[in-house]
Amino acid sequence: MANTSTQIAPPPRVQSTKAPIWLRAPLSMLRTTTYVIVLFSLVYRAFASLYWEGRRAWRLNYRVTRQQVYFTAVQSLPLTVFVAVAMGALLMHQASVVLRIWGAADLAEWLTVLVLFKEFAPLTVALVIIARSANAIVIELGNMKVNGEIRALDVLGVNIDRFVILPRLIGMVVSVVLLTIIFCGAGLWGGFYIAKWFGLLESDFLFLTLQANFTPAILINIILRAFCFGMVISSVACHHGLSVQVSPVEVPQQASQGVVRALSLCFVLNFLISVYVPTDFEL
Amino acid sequence: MTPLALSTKDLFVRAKQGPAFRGIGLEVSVGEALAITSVGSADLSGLLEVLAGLREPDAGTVRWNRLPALDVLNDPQSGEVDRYRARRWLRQTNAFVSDSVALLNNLTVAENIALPLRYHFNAPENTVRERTETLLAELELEAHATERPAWLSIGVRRRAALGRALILEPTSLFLDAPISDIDEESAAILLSVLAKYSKATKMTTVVASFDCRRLLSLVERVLVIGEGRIVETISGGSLEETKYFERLHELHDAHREIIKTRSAPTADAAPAPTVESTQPEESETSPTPEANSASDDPPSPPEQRGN
Repeated sequence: MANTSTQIAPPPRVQSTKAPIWLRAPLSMLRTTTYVIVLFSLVYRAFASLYWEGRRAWRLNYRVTRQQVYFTAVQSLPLTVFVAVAMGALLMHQASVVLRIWGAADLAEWLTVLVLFKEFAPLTVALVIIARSANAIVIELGNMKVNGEIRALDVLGVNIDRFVILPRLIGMVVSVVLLTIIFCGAGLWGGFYIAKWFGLLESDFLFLTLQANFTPAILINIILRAFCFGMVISSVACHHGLSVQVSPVEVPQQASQGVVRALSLCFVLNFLISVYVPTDFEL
Repeated sequence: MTPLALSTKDLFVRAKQGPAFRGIGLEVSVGEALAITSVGSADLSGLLEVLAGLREPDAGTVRWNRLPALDVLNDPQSGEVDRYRARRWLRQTNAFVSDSVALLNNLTVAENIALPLRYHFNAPENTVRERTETLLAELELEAHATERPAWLSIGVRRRAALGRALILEPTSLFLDAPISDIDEESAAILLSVLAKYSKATKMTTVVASFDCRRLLSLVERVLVIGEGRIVETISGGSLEETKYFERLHELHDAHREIIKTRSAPTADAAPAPTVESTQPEESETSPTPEANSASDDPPSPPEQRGN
């Protein structure tokens, strides 16, 4: 009897290209390590261009750096001060009220300095900068790649590491450090006096004690974090911006990847610095 | 004897489109204006990039004779610092204007033109301003000096790109299809500025274009490339427009015959007609590779750069 079936044979089973589950974690770690090495090499090449190019284009570099600082630090100032004052007031209120309930009122100022300035200030500033500036740098450099401007600079003999990457690295680091210091100042003074004015602080929460707990070791720790965050954010942004190849569609893709990676790296770095960089306190 | 600005020997360049360039040997004198065109498909931009030193050929050598400092690029023993400085020097002296006209959109036209001077020489602002204003006046761009390139027509952008290339007064200028897609007025301005700089500074000009119609008043020679080789050099009286186009049509017809014959081979087919080449045999150089080879591999043994 003839086979009258009209069934179509199922398509051949396609082999999955995903790695087996047990291999995914090591592969992910390998990719992350490679990514971090690429970022280090980008930073290295940018600073090495100071040797290769000497004093060439220092005026142009200074101008681009100044523009970067203006866009990143000056334009972010109102938001940063607002967040600093709000967070400062809130944290001081919580510390002075809650710790009193638990009988640890004498730890309030110390905890405020530890949490607000050492932990929150650099990270909050990094978050603001990532949202505002990192995104913008990726988009700017991505569009320059798509429009052929990076290639045109290369044809003119302009060193891309010197003219494009280095000013953005320096500008971003300077901006993050400055904004972090301003955040600490605004949080300390603005937060304290706003909280006092609204009657949120207990009478024994003293400004002088707060200031006394702000030791040089803590300031150095804060600046170290800000410096590292600035390097990470700018190098990630430059890397992703220059990773755009030919299509404008890649620009937003690289922008969102850059933001996520910058955030992740900042959190990891924050953890490492908190654990491994000591700060000695006197209570 | 006029000194040479540029010479190549047995150049082999793989092309993004069309056949690879092979056995390209040309000599360009100081101050000469040369056009390179093609019958059929050819990656003239790629060839021009190799001649300008933007990328290395796959085989053969390119020599920029006015710049002995660049010999380090042909010397595999030279150090990394020397090669870096030589390449940078090459970029300053061999200006290249691509067909895509990629001006920086975050700078004004005047700032784009001034960029190479500011970058390479840290020039003081009054020098930069003076030089930029001179070029803006020559290229009739004063009205657009403070505008951003994105808002401007292609003709204005090409003039700005030329200004950016000329601000360092290069010894050689390489242009990729500079006037193919622009209006007559912009083309006339470009050609007059090129002619002026060519005479005044003895600048060597090499132009690659599929349409050399408007370039005939500027150039002294037109190299015609077919199937990856130089098949004709048109110069002198033959550059008169009518004669030039007659000869070009003949070459196009011959090329079409070759393509037709190649695409429909039969056992008793007549031998394919070859495009008549007026280029002298390069008997003083190494033997040329076999003719009409369609392979994209370099001739063997491949010559290393620096031989």
